[in-house]
Amino acid sequence: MPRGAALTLDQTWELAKLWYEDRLDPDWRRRTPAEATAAFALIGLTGDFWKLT
Amino acid sequence: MLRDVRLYVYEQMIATSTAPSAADVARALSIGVRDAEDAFRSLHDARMLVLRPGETTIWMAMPFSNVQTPFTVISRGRAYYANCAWDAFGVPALLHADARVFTTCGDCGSVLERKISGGRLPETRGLVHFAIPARQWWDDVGFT
Repeated sequence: MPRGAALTLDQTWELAKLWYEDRLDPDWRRRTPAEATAAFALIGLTGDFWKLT
Repeated sequence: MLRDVRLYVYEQMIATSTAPSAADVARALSIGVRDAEDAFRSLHDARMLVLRPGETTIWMAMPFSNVQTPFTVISRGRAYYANCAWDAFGVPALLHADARVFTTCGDCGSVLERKISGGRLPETRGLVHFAIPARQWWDDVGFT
C-alpha cells in the first residue's frame, strides 16, 4: 500500500466539516478541483498529495 | 429535477439509513421510474452520488454508504454506515448532530469509538491513513 498521508483526528474532523456541513443545502454543488484544492489548503492540507489540479 | 432527487435521497438516507430505489423516488416525486433512473445516472456522472457498477442502485450518498462498511455511526438514535473514516466524521458534520463513530484500528484490530459532542471531538487519540492521492480518488472510489 502507498505510504499516503496520515491525518490526526482533529484534522479529519475539520476536513469532514469542511466537506459535508453544507451537503443538505438544496443548492449544494460539488467544488471544482481548484476550489477543493484551495479548501484543503484552508485546513493545512497542502502538497502534491492533496492537489486536484 | 436533479436537485429534488438528490434531496429526497438524502432525506430518506437520514430517516431510514437506507437509500431509496429509483422506484421509491419515482413514487415520492410523481415522476417516471425511467426519469428517476436517469437522474441517478446524472448524479453519479456528476459525482454527487455513486451507483453500484452497471446498476441504478445507490451505493454511496456521501458520506453515507448504502452497504455495510467497517464504519458505523450512531446519531439521532439511528445507525448509519459511512464509506471511510473521513465520511464517518462527515455524518455528524452533515447532520449537525452529536454522534458516536465506531470502527476497528487498522494497526491492531481493536475496537475504536470516538464521539462528536457539541461540534467537538473530545478524544483525539488516533490517526487516519489516506492511501490514495486526491487526484486519484475517483479512479476507483470504492477502493478509495
